Amino acid sequence: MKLHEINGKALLKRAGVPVPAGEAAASVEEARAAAERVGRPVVVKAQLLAPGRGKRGAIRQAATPDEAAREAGALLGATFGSETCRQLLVEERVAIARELYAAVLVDARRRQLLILLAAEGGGDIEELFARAPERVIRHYQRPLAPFHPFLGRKLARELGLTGGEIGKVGAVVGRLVEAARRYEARLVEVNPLVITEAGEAVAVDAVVNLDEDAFFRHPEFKTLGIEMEEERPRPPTAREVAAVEIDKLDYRGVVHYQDIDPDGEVGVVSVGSGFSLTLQDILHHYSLKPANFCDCSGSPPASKVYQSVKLVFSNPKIRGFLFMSGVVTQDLTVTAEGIVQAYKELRPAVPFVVRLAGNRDREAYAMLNAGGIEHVFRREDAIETCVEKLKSLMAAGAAVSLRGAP
Amino acid sequence: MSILVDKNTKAVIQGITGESGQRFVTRMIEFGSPPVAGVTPGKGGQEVMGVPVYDTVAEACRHHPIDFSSINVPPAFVKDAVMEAMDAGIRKIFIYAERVPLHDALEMMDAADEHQVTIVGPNTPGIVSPGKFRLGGLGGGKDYVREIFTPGPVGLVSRSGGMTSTLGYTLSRAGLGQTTAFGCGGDAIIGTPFDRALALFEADPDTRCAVMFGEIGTSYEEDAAEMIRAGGFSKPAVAFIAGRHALPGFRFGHAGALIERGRGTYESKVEALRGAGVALASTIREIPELVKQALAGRS
Repeated sequence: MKLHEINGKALLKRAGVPVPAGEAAASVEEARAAAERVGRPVVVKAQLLAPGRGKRGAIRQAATPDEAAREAGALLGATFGSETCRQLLVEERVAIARELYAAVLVDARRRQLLILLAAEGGGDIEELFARAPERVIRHYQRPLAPFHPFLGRKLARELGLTGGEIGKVGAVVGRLVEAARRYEARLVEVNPLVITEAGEAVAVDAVVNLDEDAFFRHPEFKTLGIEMEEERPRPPTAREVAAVEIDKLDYRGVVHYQDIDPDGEVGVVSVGSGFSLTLQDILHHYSLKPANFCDCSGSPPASKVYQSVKLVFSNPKIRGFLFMSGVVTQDLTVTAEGIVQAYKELRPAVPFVVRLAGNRDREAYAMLNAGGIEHVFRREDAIETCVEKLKSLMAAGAAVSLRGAP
Repeated sequence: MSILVDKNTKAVIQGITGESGQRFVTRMIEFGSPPVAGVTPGKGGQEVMGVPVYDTVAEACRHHPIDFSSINVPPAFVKDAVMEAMDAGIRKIFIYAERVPLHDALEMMDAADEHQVTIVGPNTPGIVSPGKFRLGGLGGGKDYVREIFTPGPVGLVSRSGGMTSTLGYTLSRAGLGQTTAFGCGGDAIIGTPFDRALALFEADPDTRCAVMFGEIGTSYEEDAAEMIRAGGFSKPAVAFIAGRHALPGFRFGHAGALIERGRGTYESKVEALRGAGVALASTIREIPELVKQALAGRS
């Protein structure tokens, strides 16, 4: 989970990384008051998750509290891409002598912590990495080994730093490793890491990406105002919100629903995340457009299955429906019970195709047939056979409705 | 032969009295490959379906010739359990739990590499060497598992637990049995990703073809391609990569993009694997056909 700069800096500060004096502000008045307390020229920074804030005008200079208030008024409520600015960081302006880049991240491939340092901070580090990868210094740190202070100095020297900068930057690198470990971050990135005119090393920006799976053992996050939030490329749809409620109905099983394509015509419920992902691809392979993704798995009770099918049908664009599992270990008679209940209630006018495979599947087929579901496919039937059937049923349905048109 | 588990495997279940631990015992007994012991601190002296429970792994190892541990404890306790198994001298470890904290995974994988310990998982339902041994519940009840996984020449490894059974059944239906089938795990950091799995299958003379089920994200498929190109795997391989049409989400941060540059997407995986001579299936139905072609081409 990627944190806003202000929260990332709060964690870095606790780990001993020097950061500029600053305060959060959510209103023009708060921004003015914050600038007054800083007592020097400030920078007013929109708190956004997407990179490139400087280029997008989301970071403003202000020499006086009045200017800070004016810039705050311009930024608060403004939209940048898919984000709206709700919070600002009003921070002392740092006198920059030079800008470096520093990051500590988890390298899953190498199973090590990776420390990255570059003497050309402030700009687009990805661009530098593409153009001149040799100018980015890499150091792999064994996860259980101590990061000795000399390592920081060694890396700083490799970067070409001299004199007092070696110790200052070396110490910051050590603190960043400490922060990554203490808060269990995937990534701690400081760009730029500024050497001030006074010779201090200060983290002027911070990107911290935390491991959601370790949140449970970090009560300090909550006291710092860091709450677990699901990252989404867009705000949730009404059906996605409803799915979260369905998932909460019962602790057994999971329902993971996502609207995929507003023009999609195939409603889908599938069992298991890998299988669900695969089924989406196979639908596309047959030029069918899935409207949604809905993984309903982990031995859910019949009520969850029933609610999931109904949720998918609440999308008026659906012209065909597929309930499908690979070979699963959950009791499929329970799954079948939920499907039949939804089928009887919905009496769907569009093709309704079911394929189940796994534990108690033979009994499940009998239940589906008894429930009046016509198109029931078995373990022996290939996934593709069922998709082909749905496609032909949908084509036939379209032909019928065309003939029926006045 | 097979990889990871066979007729001689002597397994201990850490967390045997818990929900997943007890289920593992049931499934392994009905397969005919029961664990020899279990561990739950504070419950030494008890039995689970006839399997003796010890307080520590070291004690279990004093009473039984154990060479494999299945970790069936909640995510927060996985690292400690793995360290305990390694401390007791166990060299093969399986982790059932999903969503193990990333830094815990990092630390235990590094320790495992240092001590030359093989870890499978986290986030996998099990390992089956058909006709020999089943660790966990992969393949479901006893009436099903023998139909889903059958003995034969294919080495099957999958990022998705559910797809391991789905592919096992698809292959078995086509008369293509397996030496060993296993879920390598769905977490970000896993002990035996594709390249390491292929190295194990390479060393197994009975495995004549590998089948891999990969997913978008991470670079384990690209790593496998590199390993094959470097000559690490001389047998034919078939792969399916899921997620070609998955809805893109946020990237996790741009330094992550630096090291993953050009990796992790469907296109990069397919291109890398094709470049390494791996046959790519675009549907599940194609997989047995590609395996048959591969086996015919090499024999």
